[in-house]
Amino acid sequence: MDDRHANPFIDMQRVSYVYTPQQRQGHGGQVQALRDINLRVRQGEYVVVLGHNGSGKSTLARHCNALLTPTSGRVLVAGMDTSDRTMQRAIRDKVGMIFQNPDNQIIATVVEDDVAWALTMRGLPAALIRERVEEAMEVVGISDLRERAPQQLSGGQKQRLAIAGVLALRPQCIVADEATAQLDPLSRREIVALLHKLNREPGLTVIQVTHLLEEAALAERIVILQQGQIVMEGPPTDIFSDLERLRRLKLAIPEPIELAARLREAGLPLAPDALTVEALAREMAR
Amino acid sequence: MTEPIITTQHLTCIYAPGPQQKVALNDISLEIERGSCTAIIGVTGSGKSTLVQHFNGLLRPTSGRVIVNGLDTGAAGVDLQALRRYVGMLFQFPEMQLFERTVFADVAFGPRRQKLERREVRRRVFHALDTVGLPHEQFAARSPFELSGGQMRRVALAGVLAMSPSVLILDEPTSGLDADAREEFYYYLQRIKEERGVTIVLVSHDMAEVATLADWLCVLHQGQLVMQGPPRHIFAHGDQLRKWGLAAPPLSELLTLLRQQGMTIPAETLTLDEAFSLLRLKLKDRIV
Repeated sequence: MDDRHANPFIDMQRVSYVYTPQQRQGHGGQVQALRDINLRVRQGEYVVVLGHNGSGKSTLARHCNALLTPTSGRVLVAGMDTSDRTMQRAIRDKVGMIFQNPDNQIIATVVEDDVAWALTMRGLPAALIRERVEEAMEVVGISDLRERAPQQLSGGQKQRLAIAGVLALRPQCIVADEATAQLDPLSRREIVALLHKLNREPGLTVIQVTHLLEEAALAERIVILQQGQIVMEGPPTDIFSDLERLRRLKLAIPEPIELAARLREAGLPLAPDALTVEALAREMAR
Repeated sequence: MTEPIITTQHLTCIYAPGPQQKVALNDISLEIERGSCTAIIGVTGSGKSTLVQHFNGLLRPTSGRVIVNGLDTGAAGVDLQALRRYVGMLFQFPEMQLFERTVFADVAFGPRRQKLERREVRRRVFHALDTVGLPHEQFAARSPFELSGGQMRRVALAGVLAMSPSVLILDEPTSGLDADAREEFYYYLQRIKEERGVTIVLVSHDMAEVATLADWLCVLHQGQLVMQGPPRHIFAHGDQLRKWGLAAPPLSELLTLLRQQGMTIPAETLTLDEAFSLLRLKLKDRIV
């Protein structure tokens, strides 16, 4: 057994989840959103969870920090069971979440106060708060925006702010649930690059949920959900080698990947791990 | 050449004139061809939404003129209701504005307010639903809230179409939709353009979307029109787009990188098929 299995940070064991009609607020009967999910995420790993709308990927994300707890099966975070209410606070300190709509995550009227919010609520000493807030703003690159009103920020800056707020709590893991979906393409790339940076330097575990294949190219592992089940799992080179299957899973194939596949088919040797625009350009211009 | 359906002449828009004023649009002159699909692109805050809100009279120019189908929207006594029937607008996340109990009632909301005859309302609603791929026999009686996100958005689109506009303005029409729903939306939009001859103005920051749909692009940056032309032309200027916070579609970016590494690739290359044929030819010595 490799060490991923020996010592997982997040360990989902036969997790199923059913939304009740009450939760769906009149949008129909009960829905099984997750079916028998077994997923282990190692400390320091970068996992992308892919799927189209309704595949269950957001439901899965919410199980990582006890926002939802399984209808059956169990989720362990650093050994703590998310269904154990006495553990939920400790779990949320370890696993921070970023959501799709940055506006819903902003509380304070000034950037640095917003970063400090959760720390202030926890009643930490002012000096410690200041230090943590400085550091978090620095890491995500919003130090120069500290005195601005969050509403004045662009979508990408708001997401950086949301990430800073989570980082200030010094989590071990960040779960980004479609955090780029409402951003323009450049900001989208910047946020993905930031998540990779946090994975490399402080060595945070990152679980990035998205419906965009191009955001998954640099992951260590990709997990694809469909109708609440894991249907594909592996490193990007494996996942991207079966474009037909990805298409059937309703995932849009990035055009450069498609182009590379057609050129390979026509007999041009291109390295299978060239999955980004930059890497493909190097391979083609060689 | 026929007269453009929308013309702006030195259009300037200033929010809150005075010491705190913000120039949202600065001296914009452009023309939108009848029957075209024009995309307005730019980052958040570049003035895209402000610009299109001048096209149906939601905003009036601070200075300069906006002429829609020969009519000056800033002139005294302009019939704004008629203008808004002529220029329909689908706002961002329009499904959040659905509220009726049935799809029919939601789409019929506009035509009913126009006091059209019942038969005419029905005809328009059915036609609009059929056009957006929600056959009325199947969908008219359903609740809009039990539909998928993509279907809900098309209900909202049908609501605008039922007003029989000549110009359709769409503000970020596919944001938040998944790949399939997006493809479907594009398909029906093309169909509206072809079958109804509607002029489409698209506000977008999704370059892949723009490359698929638009035949003309206008790039806004800090309230100014900084570049316009057909997509092929605009996307060949990747470096400049970056300066304005925009990115060319990934395929255009790849081709730009190949050019930088010394490969000769004509600026007109835009589609996957074109790129494939070209590269297969260029790299034929390496093909095994």
